[in-house]
Amino acid sequence: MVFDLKGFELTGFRNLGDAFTVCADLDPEKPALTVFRGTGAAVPETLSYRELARRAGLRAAELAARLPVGERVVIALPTCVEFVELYLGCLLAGLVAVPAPPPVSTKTAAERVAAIAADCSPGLILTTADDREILAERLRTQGLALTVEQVERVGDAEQPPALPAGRQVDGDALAVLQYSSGSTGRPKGVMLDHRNVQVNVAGFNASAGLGAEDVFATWMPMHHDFGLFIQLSCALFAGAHAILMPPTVFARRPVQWFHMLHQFRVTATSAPNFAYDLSLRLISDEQLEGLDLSTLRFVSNGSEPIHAPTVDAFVERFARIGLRPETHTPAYGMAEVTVYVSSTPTGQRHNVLLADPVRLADPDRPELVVAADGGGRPIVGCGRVRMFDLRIVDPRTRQDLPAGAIGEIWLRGESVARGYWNKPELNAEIFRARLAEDGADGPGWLRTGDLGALVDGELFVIGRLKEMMIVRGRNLYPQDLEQEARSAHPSLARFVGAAFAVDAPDERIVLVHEVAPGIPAEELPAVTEAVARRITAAFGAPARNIVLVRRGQVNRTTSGKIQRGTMRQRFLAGRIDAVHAELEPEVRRLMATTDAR
Amino acid sequence: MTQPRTSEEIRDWLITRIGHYLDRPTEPVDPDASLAEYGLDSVYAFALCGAIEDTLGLSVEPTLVWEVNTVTALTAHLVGLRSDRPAA
Repeated sequence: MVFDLKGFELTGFRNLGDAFTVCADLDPEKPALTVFRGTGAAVPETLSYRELARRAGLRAAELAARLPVGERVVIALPTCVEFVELYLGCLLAGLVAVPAPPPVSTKTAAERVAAIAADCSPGLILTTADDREILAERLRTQGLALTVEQVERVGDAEQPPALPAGRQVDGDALAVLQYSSGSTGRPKGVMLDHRNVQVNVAGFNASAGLGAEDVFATWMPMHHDFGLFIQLSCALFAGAHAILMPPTVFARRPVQWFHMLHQFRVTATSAPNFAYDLSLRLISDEQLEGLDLSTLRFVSNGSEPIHAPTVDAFVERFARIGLRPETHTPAYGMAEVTVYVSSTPTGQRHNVLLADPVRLADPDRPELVVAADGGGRPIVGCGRVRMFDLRIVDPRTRQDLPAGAIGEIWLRGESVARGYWNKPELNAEIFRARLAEDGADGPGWLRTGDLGALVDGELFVIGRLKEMMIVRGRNLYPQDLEQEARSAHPSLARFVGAAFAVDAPDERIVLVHEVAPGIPAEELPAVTEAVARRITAAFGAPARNIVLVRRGQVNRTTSGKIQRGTMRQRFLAGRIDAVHAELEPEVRRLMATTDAR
Repeated sequence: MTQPRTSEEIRDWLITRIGHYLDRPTEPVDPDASLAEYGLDSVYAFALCGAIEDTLGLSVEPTLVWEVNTVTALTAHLVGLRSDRPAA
């Protein structure tokens, strides 16, 4: 072979479309994409680089004939080859891909797609035949005159025509509007240009040591930054093979994730923490028969807080099918920088720091220091940040903080997006923040909203700034309270809770926690009492507002993140169906007034 | 595992399976109590559908779990589906 992919430099191309075309030319017969729907399903569909490039080229030509450069195209599809063809087609034709969930995938999905469409006024919305009418109807009732079409298959033998002049965009043209999951009401679309994605994807592959020889596989959805960038784009823009599985296949049978890893001799996969937990719980020992995960060399855990005991249990239990513990790689990232910020070095066990809870909660100078007694809260390290300038900043004074101090994580670098679509005020605040010492015309920083600290050069992420509570002068992090509550009583042990503060008028802690079914009603007061006692003892802050609910009542995102903001709103609006609640009179009154408004 | 065939076997199998998801190995799930009230969440509704497919060979959607809402009604629905199916 004259050319190979070893010297391939993603950042050297004018745009992502060019980079993909060159990848496809270098090794056209190599498999590019496989959609795996489980071991019981039909033979998985695999496209070579040549075939994927042909189809993407046809999509690009079709779209270019209808839409001007820079127009947005909402792609509301489940995991399928058409999604990938259209994503690449947009990048080739100078259009902006807007990945969105399939409209009927969940109860709120159609509402979410409509909100995305209302926000970015796309030139075209593409979805499945089944979803088209449902979505069109919803858009009509909202008074939105937008074109919704079902995706047709591309022709079998047709070769793509050359694109008209002017469809080739530069690196600073928008490539993707990435809507982060979260509230449906006010969606925020992160504006990523070609350069942002090229730099981030290349940086991730370089840090993780991944390239053309790797096999990437995921069941994360394509409208999520983990699925779209860490998996699909990192594979296709490096000339590697990408295996995709629909998320519902994983939800029905978590073991299918392992079958995918085994069958395709996968080397790189990624998932949020909840998936490791679910696999531990739902995959039985018998199901492991004949499976071999020894080809894996990179298993990343990110996009939600990483729970050290889950990671330990996962690597220990599945070692028997060849999973090597050092493959587990905690990672930190967010949609606002494309996806990737940092991860621990591939092939090394990650660091877990046992943090002194008193120093963590210090009101004036919270710090991350190892607990002297060997106890403390385990915090998983996310590696060194190499691709960005990083500052740990006091969110009140905007001053740069020294090593060990806990503050907001601020970032600057080539893959930071230019902002959210159509949100100029928010962008000035979030994407162009200034340090106190920068003055008015220093370079702008991205405020991540995450709290963290640097210890020996490594980043440790502690929680979300917005969710931090200040009670009696102490800084408290909801996940700490939730973790403490879980261990306060056996009936809470395997359930989730949401801790937040309400102003009554000083900040009061509220904890809404799921309780095991079947606990007799007369025992519930003892449960709340145990929690209150435990939290007060552990944090020195009173926790007098405890609401016990049935399992499933604490809102979580589809990826398992606890929606504390939503729970707080529901609580204040009196829309929580409690099996038992202990509330202070001031807090009870607060709920009444909020309700009346 | 032998495949549950009769209505009673299917019901008992569902009780064990759902008991595992709800993490209550000792006290059996009441077949007439609401599954939503037991707090069976959507992740487990998907998992239950996968298990029904694997064990009973019947294809169901997670929304069914909320529509029927009890083990008794779910059993009746599954028995009905099974008798509709042409003999293999």
